[in-house]
Amino acid sequence: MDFEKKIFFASNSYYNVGLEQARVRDLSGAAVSLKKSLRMDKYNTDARNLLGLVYYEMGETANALVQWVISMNLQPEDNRAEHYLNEVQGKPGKLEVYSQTLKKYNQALYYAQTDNSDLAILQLNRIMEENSHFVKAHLLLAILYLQREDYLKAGKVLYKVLKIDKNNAKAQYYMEIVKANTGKAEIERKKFKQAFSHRKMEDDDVIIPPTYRENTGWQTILNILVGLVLGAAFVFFIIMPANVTAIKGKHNQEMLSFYQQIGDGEHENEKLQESINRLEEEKKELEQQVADKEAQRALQIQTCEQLLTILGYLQNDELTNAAHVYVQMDSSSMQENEVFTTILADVRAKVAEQASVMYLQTAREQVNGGDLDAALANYLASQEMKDGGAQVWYEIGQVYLQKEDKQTAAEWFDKVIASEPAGSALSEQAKNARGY
Amino acid sequence: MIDFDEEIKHFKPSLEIEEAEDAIVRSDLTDMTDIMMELLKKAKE
Repeated sequence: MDFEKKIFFASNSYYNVGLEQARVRDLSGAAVSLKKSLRMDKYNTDARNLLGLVYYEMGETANALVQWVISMNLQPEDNRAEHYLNEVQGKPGKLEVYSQTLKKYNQALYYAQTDNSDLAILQLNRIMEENSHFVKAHLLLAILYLQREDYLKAGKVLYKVLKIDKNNAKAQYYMEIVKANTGKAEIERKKFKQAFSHRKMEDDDVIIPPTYRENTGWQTILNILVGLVLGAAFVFFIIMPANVTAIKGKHNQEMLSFYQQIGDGEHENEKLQESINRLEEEKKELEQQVADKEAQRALQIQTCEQLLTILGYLQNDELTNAAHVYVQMDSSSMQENEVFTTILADVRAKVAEQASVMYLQTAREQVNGGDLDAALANYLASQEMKDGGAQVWYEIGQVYLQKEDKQTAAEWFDKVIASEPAGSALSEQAKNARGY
Repeated sequence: MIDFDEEIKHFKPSLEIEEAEDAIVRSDLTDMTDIMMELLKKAKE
């Protein structure tokens, strides 16, 4: 077998190991095996994609993206990494959330390394809300709790890590410290010891019976009194503190179990809540889409009804009424419809004159009312229907002048001056308004 | 017992999304095949 094939098989072997580890949630182990696989053969797409997935599951989104992008570069076609990249980068807000989480973690690490553990803990708790799978953040939080000797909180956090990454070495190490300080390690040690404490009697073992000694009366009483005092002292100084410690330890151990159960339930709840949140977001988007479509539909129906009304007026030669409705109609929602636009063009030709006059009247009223933008729109609509001539051009120029658009105003005044006889009243007015 | 100062030194910052592009460019994709090819090339020389 040539060396290429050997390398290929070695890479596949490491990949298979990594896959098994990932399946049983030994994510740290899987990452190590998969990196070895890629060291053998960088083109092992499955190994690279799985490594990205492992990073993603551990909350290391940027590292996951690196692997998937490299994967796509090495194998652009038929690559599952494309789907993963679309999932992560698909929704605009999602990538930003991941980015902020990573930044917050680095900030929390800085706080922790500069003796600002309160701020670090606050920051890390916020991260947990955004990304409950971020292993490094959990570990940092655990060690901060351990520093404060808050073993129960540390244990709760570490339990979550071990649910995500079963064989995480740091988490296991810290958990041993938690157990040692909550009495759980002692209980486990005792159980182990008791399993091997019974010794079988040999043949030459001898049972020595207790001997009999005579005692006088007062010695007996003295012995009893001394015994009572010693007994009381023993209970007070030795047994009670030990009992208290044992009870505390048992209590702590029970609390740890209790927290573990809560942790289980919370983990399930978090997953369900994530699913619910995702579905609610999708539902909102769909509802918005439906609302938008309904609004557009309503506008289209209204526009068609207006066109029918116009056609009815035109049939009765009521041009003014037809123009009135035409001017009010918003045909933007029907521009894609060929039949509609053909009929509309025909209608427009018939009502052009009347519509032009109506637009002009409205524009003049709006100028008097001070609504220059609406007036301008109606002047231009009037022009589109039918050119109003020099007087209308002058009025349009005046509106632009009032809106302080001197350049456009001058263009309209130029048109007036060019079309009117020199020295005419309108021409002079246009020159004065233009300023030269 | 745990030495916090020693432990905290083992925590390294996480790669941020903005740094991903640089990380991709800087990635060392050398694998065994590349190493073997290099060795063969040197052997021929």
